[in-house]
Amino acid sequence: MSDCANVEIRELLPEYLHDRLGAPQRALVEAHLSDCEDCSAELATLRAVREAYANVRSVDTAGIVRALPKPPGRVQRPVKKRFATWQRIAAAISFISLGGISLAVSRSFFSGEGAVASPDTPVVIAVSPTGRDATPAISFGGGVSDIATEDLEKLLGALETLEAAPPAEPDGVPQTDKGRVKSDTSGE
Amino acid sequence: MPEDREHSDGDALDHTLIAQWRGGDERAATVLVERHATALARYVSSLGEQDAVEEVVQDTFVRAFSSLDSFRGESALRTWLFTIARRLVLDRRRAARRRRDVATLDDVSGGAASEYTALDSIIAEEAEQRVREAVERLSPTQKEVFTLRVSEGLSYKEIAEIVGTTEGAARVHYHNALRTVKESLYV
Repeated sequence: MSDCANVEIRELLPEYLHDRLGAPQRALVEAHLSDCEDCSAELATLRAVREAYANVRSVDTAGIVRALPKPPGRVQRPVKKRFATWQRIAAAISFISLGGISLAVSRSFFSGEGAVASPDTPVVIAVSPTGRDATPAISFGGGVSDIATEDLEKLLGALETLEAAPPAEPDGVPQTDKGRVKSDTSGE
Repeated sequence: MPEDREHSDGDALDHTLIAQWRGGDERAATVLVERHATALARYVSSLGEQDAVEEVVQDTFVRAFSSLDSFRGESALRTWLFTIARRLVLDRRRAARRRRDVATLDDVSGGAASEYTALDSIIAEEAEQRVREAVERLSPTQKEVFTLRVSEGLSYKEIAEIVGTTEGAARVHYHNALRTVKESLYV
């Protein structure tokens, strides 16, 4: 293989190989290549060299980007403050506790069973009169802690009376054949 | 002439991306890395640093982005990156020489030939092996200039800037290398 005497064209071959010539120069090179075996062979050699070195180990571009410094004009966005673990746990316990208390209160309210009394719970004791020893109802608008000693004694006395009194409604309710209720406390 | 060729599109895009990165757009860095990483890897590999290609390429980008303020845009970004990569390779070789556990600059090039011989077993085509072997016979400077010109399509001006020589010397190295490769392949 000999070298073509047209040095100008030969100098353009690497650029032609990389498709970096403008249209006029590209046309010039292609016209020359169609008639010049030496330049065609030289271009084939250059192409072979390029292809021989084209296969390189792939580079982890994402890893490179991660290693780069942050841009100088980067806008520092305020970091959203996250709750600490202990705060989350405390919130969960509070939520569960409130839910449990609410459930207990609502159940006791609808079933009419003993309500949970706290020092601030209003005390209302209604004693159903049985006709024999009706005790006036005792009601306090405040909490248990607001009860005076005198009132407390009165309250305890009323409780003793309640324990001694028969239930207002019998446990067993016998049925008549006609389905009428027969009461044995009516005094008939 | 080759030096008049239009690199403006790629260069303009690089400058735009640099401006975007300076303005805080981190995605611009990703695009820049993806645009130039493979060419850099190819160049570093051609310098005989096959085992450290990834490391050198990463260090090149880190250094470049750390001192991007000093990049005035008078040369192409790729040229600047190649210059940094070359300096890093030379630093590695100097450090290696000091440790006396690797060979000298010329020996490294000689070692590269054996590396390429190992790679050749993977490459199926015999013609490709012959081309590589022909290029490996070049002197280190000839090989560097030749691969920058043929593999990367750089101009003599850019090559001179990277290698640290004159355009005229780069042109002489290229033509001497081309003649040697032709003789290896066709004689």
